Amino acid sequence: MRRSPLLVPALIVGAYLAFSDGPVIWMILSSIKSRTDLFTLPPKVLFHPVWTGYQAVFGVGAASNSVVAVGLYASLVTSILTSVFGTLIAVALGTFAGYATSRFRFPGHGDFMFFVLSTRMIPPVAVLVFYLVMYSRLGLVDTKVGLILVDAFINLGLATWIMKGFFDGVPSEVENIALVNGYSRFYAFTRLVLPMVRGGIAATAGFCFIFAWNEFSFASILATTSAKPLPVKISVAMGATGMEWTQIFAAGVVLVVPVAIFFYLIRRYLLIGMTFGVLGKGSE
Amino acid sequence: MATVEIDNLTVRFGEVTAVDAFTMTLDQGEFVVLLGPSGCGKTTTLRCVAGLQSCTSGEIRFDGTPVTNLVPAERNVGMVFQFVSLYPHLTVRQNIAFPLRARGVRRAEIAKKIDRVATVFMIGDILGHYVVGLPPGARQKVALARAVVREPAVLLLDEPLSGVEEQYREEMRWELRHFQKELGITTVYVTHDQREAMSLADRVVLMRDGKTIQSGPPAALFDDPADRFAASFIGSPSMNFLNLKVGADGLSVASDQTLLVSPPQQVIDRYRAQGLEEVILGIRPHAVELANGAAVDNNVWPAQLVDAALVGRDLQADFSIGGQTIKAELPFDADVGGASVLRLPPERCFFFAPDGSRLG
Amino acid sequence: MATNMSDAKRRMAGPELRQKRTPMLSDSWLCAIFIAPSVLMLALMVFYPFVMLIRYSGLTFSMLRPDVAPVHVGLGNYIDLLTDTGVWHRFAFTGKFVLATLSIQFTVGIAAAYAFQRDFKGRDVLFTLALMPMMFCPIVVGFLWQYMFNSEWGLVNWLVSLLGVAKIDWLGQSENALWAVAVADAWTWTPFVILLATAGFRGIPKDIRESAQVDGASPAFTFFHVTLPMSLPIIVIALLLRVIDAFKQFDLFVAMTGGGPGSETETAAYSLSKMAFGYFHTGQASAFAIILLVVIFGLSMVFVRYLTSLSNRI
Repeated sequence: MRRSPLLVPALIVGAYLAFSDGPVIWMILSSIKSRTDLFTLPPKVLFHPVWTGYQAVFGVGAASNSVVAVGLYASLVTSILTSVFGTLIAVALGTFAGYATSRFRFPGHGDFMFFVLSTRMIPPVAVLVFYLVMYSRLGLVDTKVGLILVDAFINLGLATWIMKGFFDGVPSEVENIALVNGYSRFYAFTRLVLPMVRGGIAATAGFCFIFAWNEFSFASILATTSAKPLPVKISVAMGATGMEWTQIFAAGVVLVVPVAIFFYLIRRYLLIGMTFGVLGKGSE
Repeated sequence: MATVEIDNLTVRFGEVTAVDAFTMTLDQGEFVVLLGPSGCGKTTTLRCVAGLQSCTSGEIRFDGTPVTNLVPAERNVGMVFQFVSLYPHLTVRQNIAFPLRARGVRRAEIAKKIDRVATVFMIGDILGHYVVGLPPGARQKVALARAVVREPAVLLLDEPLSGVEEQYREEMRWELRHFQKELGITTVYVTHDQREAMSLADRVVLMRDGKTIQSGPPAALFDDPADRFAASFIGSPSMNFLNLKVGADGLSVASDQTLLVSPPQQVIDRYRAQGLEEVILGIRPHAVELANGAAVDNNVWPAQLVDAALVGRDLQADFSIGGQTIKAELPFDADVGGASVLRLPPERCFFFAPDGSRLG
Repeated sequence: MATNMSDAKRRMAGPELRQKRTPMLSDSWLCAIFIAPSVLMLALMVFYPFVMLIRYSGLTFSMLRPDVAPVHVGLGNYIDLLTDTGVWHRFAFTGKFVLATLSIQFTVGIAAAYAFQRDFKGRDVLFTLALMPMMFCPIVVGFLWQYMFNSEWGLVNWLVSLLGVAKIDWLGQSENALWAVAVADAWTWTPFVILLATAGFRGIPKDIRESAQVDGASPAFTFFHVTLPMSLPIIVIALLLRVIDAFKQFDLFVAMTGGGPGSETETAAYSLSKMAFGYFHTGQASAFAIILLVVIFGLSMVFVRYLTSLSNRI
């Protein structure tokens, strides 16, 4: 039996991958190009690699002492700290809230879920107008704590919806067995239900980390000097001394590595995470 | 409508041979049922005819033209799947029109053809409905209409009634056969339900482990099974089997050798020629006769009633003979007591060797 | 489910049966405690700011000048904004941008999803590679494309010149810049469309696919008349999510155009950010923020409504 040709799909895949991964390869190449090589046409593919970009990002070598590069490494550290702690808080809050909304029908249940969902819709700029006022009054401007708070907040909705989905997938008989035998619901929650949603917690943590890690809008207003996370630091690179493209691209590559790792680790949950828990099965 | 030839079809999945040198010819308009237990290769064979399954070797021809290398779309077959897969986003009319639109038939033509099949299948009143809410009988009619609307060479049905509730099945079976006769379409029907096969088919092909066990009109399989498997598979309630022992003076029941059997001469010749020590006797429940009062003789034995139940018009009684059980289908008013005498008419007995082959 | 139950029983095999007399938190208390922190955060980060924004929108003041007393202007800010042709211009530009990026994302995305719907050798690897753009930080993406769209030494113009076309000033002219940023945005998020569309396509039952084959439908006919229509719910979800995100797009404009030339490529969001953090017209910015929120929320309501009806149906 003759199979219909795979030619058309193959062409499409090839064309699409050229479009999507071509720029990636270009960026990686550009991150190790010297100044002159960056701007020559036709674009060079073979050249002498230059590592100043990466040196600057990791704070080693002479390259990290240039005006623009100072603070790149510090920004990297800030990014790591704020993303990790922001994720922890978001996952914790989201897990508790997700469990409560899954199991209990409390007054205001629908409204609560609506407000949680609404965090996805809010354009950062709009609320930032007031956040700046609020933060300056609380003394949180330009602090890591302030950023952690933001990183937690932007992911609260995601964490709650995803975890609710996973908890919905655990039948309430599980807790009922415990309750009937005299255990507290809290005991049932921590010892029985939580272990069952391990995958969900991992997926949630992964996505929260990714979104916190790449976050720019909030940080660009609320942390512009000493507590700049890496994305903000990069944007400042278009400063008076001109762009240090090598450093920008090196930083870009460094930024994407953890994200790629996480994407690969939680690839089974991609659909759930990217659609805010709407699509995709929680137990696969 | 076409003749279908399947020539030495073999399908292998890795180490497993699903279909083994299967050969069959269908005449135009014939209704053939592929019958067998699951895994026997009947569905695989059907899918090969459709073009959904590639064959490892062999050829399939429609009206003499080989189609083995053609894609399903090029073969012009109609198929009804096990779970009647209608397009859920389309109405009945659009479902039926689909194969025609796929081939670029013109609008006016399509409307005519739909009206024609709608009349045949009596679904004119639901043409505008979406398929989602329809009852199973209607769904099947729509599926059939869609399959035949472009007058395919052959109609293929893959256990279309297996998902249907028992109460609807018989009526749908009847309707199906009626439509098939009316349209005169060559049909291959796959099922594991032997009652379905017996009631629908012009010809039954019994399959097992990829091979054809027996092929012929339903009566032939019923009255003259090719081997023990065929004998046990066909008929409901299924055939009784008794273990017999070959003795110096003839056959006797293995567990009670006072009970003698008188087989036809050719059976005796055959088991002697093969040097068998054991023979299996088969008899259908309705062939077993109650002979209370008759003297014990060859094929007339005392039996102990074990259980009895009224099933429909018949009394199904289980008897114990020498430790082995025989089921008899008797008239409802039969007089069965604890101790009875049964007669097994020799002309209605079948004999098999221990390997399942038929002795007579 | 059987596994879940036996798991649960196994885990409970440990401690002795506890007496019910031990004080335990009732369900209502537990529920309250569990959602309290989230409610608090929501109140602090959503509710309170929203209320304050409304309050501020009725004033004229600047954050930078706390010494100057705020002036009450009632709806003055709103009127100023809604009668300002510049503001409408911004919204129009935002709308055009949304259309531009969505059209690229969905045509390319669905075509790619079509190609990825069947399993083939190496599919998993290639699919993961196709998802790469989503992983990048938007700011980095912006700079990368700024680099590539540069009219003198950018890769795009070099490729364009290979086709014999003259160099295009991508980022210096607002019509081109619109498309340049749209391409960058589409580049980042087409994988999202592919992810969802592929899920939809692969979810179509095998029997239906085979029905279409037997019915004589070519792969193209099947795609347009069976696969796509049956995947519509998922594609609509993708569409709604992408529309909302496109409206919110900010990072790319910062990196690629800075709103320029002049203020021609300012989206509503960008314009708002200039007003609030460039000029610090806090009162006016608050009004603008409210307007923007209303627009996006309105769009989102469509999404939420479709979402809840979907989750009720599933």
